[in-house]
Amino acid sequence: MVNASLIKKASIHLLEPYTIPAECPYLSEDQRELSKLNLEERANWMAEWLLLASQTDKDDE
Amino acid sequence: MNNPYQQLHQEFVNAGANVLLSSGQACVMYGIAAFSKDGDWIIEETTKSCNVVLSVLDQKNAYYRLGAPLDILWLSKSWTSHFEYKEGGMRIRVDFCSRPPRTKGINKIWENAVHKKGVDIVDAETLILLKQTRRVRDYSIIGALAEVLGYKENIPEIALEYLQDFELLKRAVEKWPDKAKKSQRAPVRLLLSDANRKEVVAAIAIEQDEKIQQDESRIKQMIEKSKTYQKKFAVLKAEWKKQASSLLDQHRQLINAAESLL
Repeated sequence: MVNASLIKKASIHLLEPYTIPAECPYLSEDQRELSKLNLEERANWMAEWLLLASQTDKDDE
Repeated sequence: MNNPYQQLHQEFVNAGANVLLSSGQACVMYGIAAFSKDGDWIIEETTKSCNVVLSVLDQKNAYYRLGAPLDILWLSKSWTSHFEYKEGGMRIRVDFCSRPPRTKGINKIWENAVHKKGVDIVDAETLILLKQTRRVRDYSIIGALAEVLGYKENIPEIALEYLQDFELLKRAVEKWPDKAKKSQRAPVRLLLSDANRKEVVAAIAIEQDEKIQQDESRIKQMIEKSKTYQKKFAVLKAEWKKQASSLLDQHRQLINAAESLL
């Protein structure tokens, strides 16, 4: 069982901009780019995707 | 550009509800998923939080999708509530539960929750457990979380327990042999016993499939239990559409209709 405070601390770190380490070769370019952003930038990134998706939904209708 | 789910989260919190971002939105906030089309929250099991959320959603002309009323009686029995509304041409889908499956219990979720710069979110290990769903695609997210928690945050137990890829798991066993020896996970035990690649890959696949089946079985049971209610809901939904009922009116009617779920 992992110590809860360790997980909490790690979770907080992941909410800050970080670089995906070289030992993780299979994570995508999108994930590498997103991880380097701060929370506001990550939220904005997703907003752009949502807008694109809603446009696709309209095109499909 | 404003993220409607992030804004909605702030509205819930500012109005006095205790809610935590979870699932897809949480994956985006942790930087390991680029996109999520809907919003999932864990809501505190209190009448106040439920009423506040309903009031915020009512102001947005949201309506109920098939699910239980957002009320502690149903939440405490692990039922979930689902809403939808339109904003700026976007379809916003909003889902709530208070007792998510597979997690370590309601108190632990709130104890371990993370609050940072207006983001209230489940911790990363809880997120991994939440993602052990019937959808195959969720296991690549679990693997990604295990990669960053293992290799960036140096938490070997998470890497060994949740990595979903042969090469990375093999490397984790080599990197942390003492921790690996303590693991009960079948693919890790196989790697320690020098099993061949096919055996380890098969063990990872079997493990995933077992979790998929467990979730599938849980969902089937809930669908079975709610068969009568689903029919009632369909009738109510048609009425709401005809009468342009407010969410709060929908909620009052749903409370009466959903007794069979308790």
